[in-house]
Amino acid sequence: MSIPDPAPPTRRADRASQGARTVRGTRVDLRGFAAVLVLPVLVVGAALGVRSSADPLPARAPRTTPLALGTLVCPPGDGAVRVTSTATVPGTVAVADARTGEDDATPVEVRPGVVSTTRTGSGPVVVIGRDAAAPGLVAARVERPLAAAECRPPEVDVWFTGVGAGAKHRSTLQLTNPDEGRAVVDVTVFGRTGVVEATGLRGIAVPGGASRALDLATLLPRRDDLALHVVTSRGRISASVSDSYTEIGRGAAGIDAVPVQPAPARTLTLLGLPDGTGQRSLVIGNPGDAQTTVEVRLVTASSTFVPAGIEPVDVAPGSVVRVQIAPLLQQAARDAGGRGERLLGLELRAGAPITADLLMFVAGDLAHAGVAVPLERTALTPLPPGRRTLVLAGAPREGAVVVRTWDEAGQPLEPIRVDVAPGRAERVVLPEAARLLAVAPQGSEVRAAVLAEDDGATVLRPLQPILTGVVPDVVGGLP
Amino acid sequence: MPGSSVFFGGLPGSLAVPGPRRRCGAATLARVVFRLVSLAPHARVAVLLVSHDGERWLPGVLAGLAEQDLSAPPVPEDAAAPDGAPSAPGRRDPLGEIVRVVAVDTGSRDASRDLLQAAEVGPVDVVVAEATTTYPEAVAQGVARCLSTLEEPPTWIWLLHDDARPAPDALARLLAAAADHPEADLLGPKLREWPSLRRLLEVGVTMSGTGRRETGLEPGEFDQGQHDAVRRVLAVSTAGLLVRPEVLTELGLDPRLPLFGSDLDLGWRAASAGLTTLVVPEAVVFHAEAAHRGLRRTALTGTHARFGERRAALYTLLANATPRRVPWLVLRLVLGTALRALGLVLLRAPGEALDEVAALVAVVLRPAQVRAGRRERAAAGLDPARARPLLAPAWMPYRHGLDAVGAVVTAVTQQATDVAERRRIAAAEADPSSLAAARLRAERAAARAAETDDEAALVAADTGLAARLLTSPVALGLAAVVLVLLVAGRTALGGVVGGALSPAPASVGDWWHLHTSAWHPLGWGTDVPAPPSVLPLALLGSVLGPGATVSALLWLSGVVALGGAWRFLRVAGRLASPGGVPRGLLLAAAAAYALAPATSGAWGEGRLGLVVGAAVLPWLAHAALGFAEPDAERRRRAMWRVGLLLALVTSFAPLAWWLALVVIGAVTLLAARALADGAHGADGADGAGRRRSPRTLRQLSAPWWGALGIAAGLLLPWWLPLLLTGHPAGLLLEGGRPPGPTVEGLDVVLGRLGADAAPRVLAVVLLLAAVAALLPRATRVPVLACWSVAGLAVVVALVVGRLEVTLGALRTGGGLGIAVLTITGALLTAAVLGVAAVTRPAPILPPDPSLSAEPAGGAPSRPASARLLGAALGVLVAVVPLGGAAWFLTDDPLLDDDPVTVVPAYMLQSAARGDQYGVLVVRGDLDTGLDIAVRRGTGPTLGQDEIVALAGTPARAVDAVTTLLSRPSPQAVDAVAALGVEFLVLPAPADGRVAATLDASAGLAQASAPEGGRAWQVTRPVPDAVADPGGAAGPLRTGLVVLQLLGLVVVLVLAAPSVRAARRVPEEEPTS
Repeated sequence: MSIPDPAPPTRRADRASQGARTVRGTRVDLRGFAAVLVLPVLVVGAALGVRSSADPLPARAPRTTPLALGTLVCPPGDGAVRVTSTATVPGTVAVADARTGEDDATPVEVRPGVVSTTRTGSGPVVVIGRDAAAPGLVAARVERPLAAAECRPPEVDVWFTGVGAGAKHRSTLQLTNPDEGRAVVDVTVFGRTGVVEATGLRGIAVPGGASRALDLATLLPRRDDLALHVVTSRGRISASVSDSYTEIGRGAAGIDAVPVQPAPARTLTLLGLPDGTGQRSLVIGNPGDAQTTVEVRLVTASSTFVPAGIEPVDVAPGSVVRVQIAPLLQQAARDAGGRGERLLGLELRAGAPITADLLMFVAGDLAHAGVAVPLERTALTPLPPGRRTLVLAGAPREGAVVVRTWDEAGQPLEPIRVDVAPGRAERVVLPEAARLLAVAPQGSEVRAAVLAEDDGATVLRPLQPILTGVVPDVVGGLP
Repeated sequence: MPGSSVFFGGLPGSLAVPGPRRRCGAATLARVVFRLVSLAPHARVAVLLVSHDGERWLPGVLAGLAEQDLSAPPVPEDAAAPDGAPSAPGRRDPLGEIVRVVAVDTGSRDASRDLLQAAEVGPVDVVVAEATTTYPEAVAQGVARCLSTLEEPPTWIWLLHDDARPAPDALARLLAAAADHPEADLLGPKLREWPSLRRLLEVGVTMSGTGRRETGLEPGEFDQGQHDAVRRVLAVSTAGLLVRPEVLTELGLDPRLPLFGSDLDLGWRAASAGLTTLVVPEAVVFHAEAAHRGLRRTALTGTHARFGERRAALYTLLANATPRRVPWLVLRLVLGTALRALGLVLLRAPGEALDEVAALVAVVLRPAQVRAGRRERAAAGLDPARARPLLAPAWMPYRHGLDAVGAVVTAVTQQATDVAERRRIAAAEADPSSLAAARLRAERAAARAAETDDEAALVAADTGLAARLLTSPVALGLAAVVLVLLVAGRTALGGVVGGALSPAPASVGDWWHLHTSAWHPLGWGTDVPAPPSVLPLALLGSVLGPGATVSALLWLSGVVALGGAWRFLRVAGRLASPGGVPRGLLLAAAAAYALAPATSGAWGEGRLGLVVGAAVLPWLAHAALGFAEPDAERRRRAMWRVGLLLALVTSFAPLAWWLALVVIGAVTLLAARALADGAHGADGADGAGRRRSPRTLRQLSAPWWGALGIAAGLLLPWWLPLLLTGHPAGLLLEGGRPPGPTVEGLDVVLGRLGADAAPRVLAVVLLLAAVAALLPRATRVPVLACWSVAGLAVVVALVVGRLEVTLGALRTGGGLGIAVLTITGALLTAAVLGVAAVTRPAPILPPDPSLSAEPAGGAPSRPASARLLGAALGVLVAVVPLGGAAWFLTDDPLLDDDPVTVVPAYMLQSAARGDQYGVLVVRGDLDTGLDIAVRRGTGPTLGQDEIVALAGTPARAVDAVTTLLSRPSPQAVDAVAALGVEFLVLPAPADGRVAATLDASAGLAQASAPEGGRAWQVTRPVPDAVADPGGAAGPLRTGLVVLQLLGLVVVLVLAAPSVRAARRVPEEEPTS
């Protein structure tokens, strides 16, 4: 390709050659540079606003739905199974031996305000309510001398403290599987010196519709007090511990159920201190991996305080400590009595989540004052005959509690309204005729326990029945 | 010579005794006698000239004929004739005489006949024949006239074409050779191109197994005497063929070959008959090949010379081959023709492809012709085996195939390379007075002055690859970079999976199925279309296999990116300033870009889409520089190329199309403003090549928008179903297993995608260099253009990143990966242009008196500050690839990490039985919510992730699972089973409450699960199969895919470079 020769010089061409002079030397031109620097600044500035990231969806709480299937499992025992419900309409539930299942069930009518009593032998019992009869079921098994076992729904993760595995203090872990499929349970045992090696308690298989009783004294004989962490890794299990204690100098053993603690907590309230001079053993478990210090406080009607003469208790990691507090309590009771007050319970404060149980002897009978869980809504318990005292404490703020009772026939008795406040406890002596108690907190949650005394003693904790099932929030995910 | 019995047989109706000379003593004797006679110094030569509409060349031909000097040519001293009597120096006895010139004119409509009759070459006997006379007929008529009018038959007949001009000594040298080789029956000259005169056309020909005319010459090879040895060959052209009359009368030309290929056939038959054909390269005939090149159209050539040639070649091949080879030949010709036709279509020569096919059809559909031809040859006692050694070797066609592929590859990689040069030339032509034109003239003059002789240049160009490698530090550096890329990327070899990369499917059929199906049994079943990358993967996987495809893409993409970046930066540098970019800087920048996918973290995370997209991106930019071509046709070609490459990048990184849209939109706006302002002549920042010629915005921007449209059209089977099925988010998401990389704030300009990127300091260095690149004024406009592109990409990232798309339990923004890599590329380009402005040698200055008068004297030195700045920037730019390479070599990529398996192997085995045996995976806990996903088969493979992510989970599945998890009942289990679920898995840590609910459900049996997890088997029957809902989507998909593949072929053809540069004969007469 040929390029034509230049045209005769014109003014334009002159301009071009003049332009060349400036183009020729590439000079660093700071003024122009400053002007065009605007662009990089803008680009970098805009870049600061860029954001593209992948975030998980925010937490989505489950919805609630009326419970469709209520299952309660009562531990074995001689006592009758007492079933009641918060439902306002009558319904029929099935009560059956857990080992035979629902097919051989006894239909039991549950009416408002009435405690239905059924005898189905001494094996574990399952109470099943379906659909309308499912929500609000509460059941317990009460024996004489006074011992009460709560009938609990199957739970994945429960704690028992104050369990024994020796000749004198001997506990039996009862695992009941109400479903068809196999269940597997792992039990971790905490002792005085730490976690106790117990191979027989790992991977315990419970076939469908079966109940296994594990005598701890046989499996891991030892004299110290224990805490159990029962975790269901597979299937559904209702676990309970029945406890017997032979007090020195007495032939017969006291029997009671060790109360369930749902989870370790930093602040625990144990309610239901009977009068008397029997043994009072406070058992504290520290499942954590660091030592913790536990402060023991006494709860009276007017205050919660650290009594003189008790030092904070140090609990080594993974271990259980027993503290004899009978003398302390007697001294404190005398002091309080001087002020016209009663000791109503204990409050434990720890630096790390702990478990606890108060093991007592009352008139030669064993009683466990377990950890009272906070009640947010109406809680029920059938009442055994005898002297029954309701203790309310641990309200985080001021509020009220309406205490309702019903007699044998299901007739409501006069309701009692009790004001509750932080740091204070209330004691309500329940009417003689009352057979069913409902505690309805208003304005504040509250902890409650019923101390029943009559030829021995036992502590009953009003239970919040399960009203609703949860519906998880399900979304499609990525594989 | 009376009596034809000296020759054995002939074509139609010969009565002579058939058989080769060995078999016939009498014939052999006669032959010897004949040869003795022909040795007589005075050979009698009859010239036979066939003409048809040849007035353009005839005067030259006749002049050449008139110039023939039959005296014995001088023999070079160092090349004594092997036998025979060499003519003593000084004795120049004539070797023979031309006894007759017979011209056969086949119905010329121009002045040919008059020219012949007026010729001053002695007695010209003009035979007038019909226009439909074939060449063999014309020759037969001419020979008949010769023999009938001459008292004594000639010893030789010299055939000439009307477009073949013999050199003055051509006939003499042929006769001398004939004298030296008495066994020769046919002698042909060396044919050179007329009018170029120095290019060789033929020095004897043979035929390959595919019917190709083999000359053994390179295209356009110059005659430097390299083929000057008298050789026996299969055939020589009839242009200038010196042949014994008996050969023509007895063997003759096959009348079934009307024009083309009769020479090859004649030579073949002569060889089969045991005759000898020699090529005499000392004799030169200049040939215009008028009919071959379509310069002359006759009733015989028609408009398709190629058809005629090809038909003749096929006929010759089939008629002359040994009988055993015929079936194999037919098969090979059919396959070969299909392949060649395909290749021609791909090279945008559909007419020639049609000719190829038509020729084959014409031959194969008329087997009677071939049979008749073979019968005649058999009857004449020809033995094809004799010709065998003279045929082309068997590997010849494959070598041609390789050459063709090589030529295409070279052309593809080189296109747009010279855009800067062409723009300068065009600018110089448009304004010869401009400085640019003056500079160009000066450069050319300097080049001419510096040019040494051809030989030296050739030797220099021929220096071996090894020598060039060892003597060039840049070449060594390039090799080192390639080595680093390959060594650092070795993780990709072998089965690779991990990070965002899912395993490759078991067979490439899975990819094809994924691409062609409208409905996929993935997850809960979906009609979300396959991502667009599946088609290129399937195409490549069909060759390499799926696993090797993924490995190859990951392993070699760096090298591809390196090559692309090198080419793009070189051309961009030349566009920005005539001096271009120093090669060392080019190497550093290209290496930095090639490492960018790795240093950004995309490579290590297994983001195949980004890695491939980044590798193609510089090629796309390189092709886009074609928009700056001064020639409209080239700009259109660039449009197809850009469209194709944009479609490729977009299929791997969907944001690319949107980026291109924004950039083109901005450039169009700029161009519109510039045109409105009447800013002619100034090179805009857009590099679009505005010329002074008035052009509308529409003409200017049509190729840009056309390229966008082409890309969109090619991706139609992806985006249209995405929109139709209501998943527009897929147009903006990153490819691969979600979620895409997290990009926040400055990372977008620092080229970092997520946490697994190289240290920020390297990117900061690049950013600073790009800012500093604005300092030199000469290249400020192109550097600003680079910054503008980066700015537009940031704006796109700003918008797209903020879009929220919910994929399952994830909320994610758009995929910004390709925008980040584009910004890195733009900043690198800016840095390179800036550094080049202060480091490249000063341009050659035109010898303009006004300039030489300057006090500086035009010394090409730069201010010290500029040189210092250049050096500093160069070091900065070099730090980036060095640091990047070091990091890449030592980094531990996520690739090749074994993915965490939540589904036990036995479930996968069960799931592999069919899509209905799905595994439902439930993650999360009750308090924060659960998410569910179903795995089918062996889990998502490469290409399926995007589908599964976009498909989401239908409400019926969520409802069924929610019911199962909240109110378990046998019905609830049935509902889940009906969705095609055989197993339920709660991966560790399983929520015990959820597990408890499932444990209480009848119809679920506990199954073994990994530690901490839970699993159940559904004991209810699953459906027989996961049903395809069918509907109209299937046919629509098929139609779209067919359309896409057709479109792809068309675009490939239109984007292909022009490999076959058509040889154009200038309208100049020979000046011999």
